[in-house]
Amino acid sequence: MNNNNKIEQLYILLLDYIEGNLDDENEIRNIEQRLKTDLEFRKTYNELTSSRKLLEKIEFKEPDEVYFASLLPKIRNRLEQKKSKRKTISFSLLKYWQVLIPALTVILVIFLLKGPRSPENIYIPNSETNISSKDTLSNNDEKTSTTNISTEEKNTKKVRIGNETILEKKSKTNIQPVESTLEENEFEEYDYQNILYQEIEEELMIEKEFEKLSPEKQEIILNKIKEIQL
Amino acid sequence: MVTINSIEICFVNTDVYMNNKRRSKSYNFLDTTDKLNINTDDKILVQSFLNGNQTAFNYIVMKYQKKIYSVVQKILVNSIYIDDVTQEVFVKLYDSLKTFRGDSSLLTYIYRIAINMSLNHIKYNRKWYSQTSSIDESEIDLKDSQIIDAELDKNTLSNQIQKAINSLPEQQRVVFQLKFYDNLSYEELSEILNKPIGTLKATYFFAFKKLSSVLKNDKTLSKFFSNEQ
Repeated sequence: MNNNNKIEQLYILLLDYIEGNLDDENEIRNIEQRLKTDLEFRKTYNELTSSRKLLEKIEFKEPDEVYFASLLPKIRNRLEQKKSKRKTISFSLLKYWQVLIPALTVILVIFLLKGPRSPENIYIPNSETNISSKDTLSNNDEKTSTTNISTEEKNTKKVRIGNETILEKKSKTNIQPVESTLEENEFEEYDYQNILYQEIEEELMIEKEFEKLSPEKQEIILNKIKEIQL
Repeated sequence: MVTINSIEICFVNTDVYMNNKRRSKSYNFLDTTDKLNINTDDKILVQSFLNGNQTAFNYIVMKYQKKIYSVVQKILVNSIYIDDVTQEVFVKLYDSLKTFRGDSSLLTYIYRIAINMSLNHIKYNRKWYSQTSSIDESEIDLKDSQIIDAELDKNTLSNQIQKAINSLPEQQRVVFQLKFYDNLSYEELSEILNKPIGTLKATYFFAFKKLSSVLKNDKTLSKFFSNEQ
């Protein structure tokens, strides 16, 4: 400890010395010696003693007993107010949740129904677009034949994998499982519609050829078909 | 006796008011519930309160209300909010007793709450405190007015001392007030403020030195200083 620190330490201990709280005899001796030799130290000692005497003459007013008697009910009152505040806040939150929970449930249900679809991988033909494409056909007979196809189309879906065309039955919910092996752009709407048109045209041709036949021949063919179906 | 009776009546009324509902509920009371009083050990009072006995909290308030009022009063010197902050200290204590681990004494714990809340109060109402230089009805009183010079009237001295104390930085003011006016030891202060005794001694010295300087430079009080020397 250098000399400056020693002096600073003595200044700090000066108040303990004035208040009579200094027990260490060595420290007491050092302070008393310093008071005799150091004028600045003596001046500080006098200032502290004077201000201490002045400050000792005052005291903080303490409230009367009536105040302290009323303090506990005041505190209890505050606690009650705080409790009721908490209750109101939690009640309002509860009200808020009463609306929020059903709303969240509805959103969740909608999400579950519509969310997992992946239209990029599997193309599910829309019957409405088929009908609109069929409208381009002018012939009435053609129309009747296409309606048969469209009803059949409602129950099936066509998926082309590579060069093969596969017919699959549609599920009720229209949710289709995603096959990880399928690649993007492998199923194109353009190709699929072309295939449909080809099939429709083929069937129309068969129908026209059937109409050209004599009624006897038509009857024979129909009977054969019936036999096959039976 | 009158004042003691008023406290007792008030205490009983509050107890009845707060515990009517509680009596119907099945709280886990300590066996010592009926034996509790203001002199009961703090640990038992706290444990009893944590077990649902509201009366125990009433005893804690009764036991420490004067000390806490005194601490708040010393930090918020001459503020109209002393009563308000004192009540808030006990409200805070009520909420935080659940987390009281008992590492320190209950008194130290309450002192900490009181000091922190008082300092926070000053912090958030600094504008009000800076505008309020002196108040007509002083919280500070003279022990014996005849001792002071005839020229120094009671209010002037009180106001000057208040100003001098308010001029101290927060930490110095807390240490000075608790050490000088509340007679707390350095060991107690160290536990409450969580600071080493050496630091507290230095803080106390510098607070006292600053107060001396302010009081000495005051026109009305400088005379008193020169007379002393």
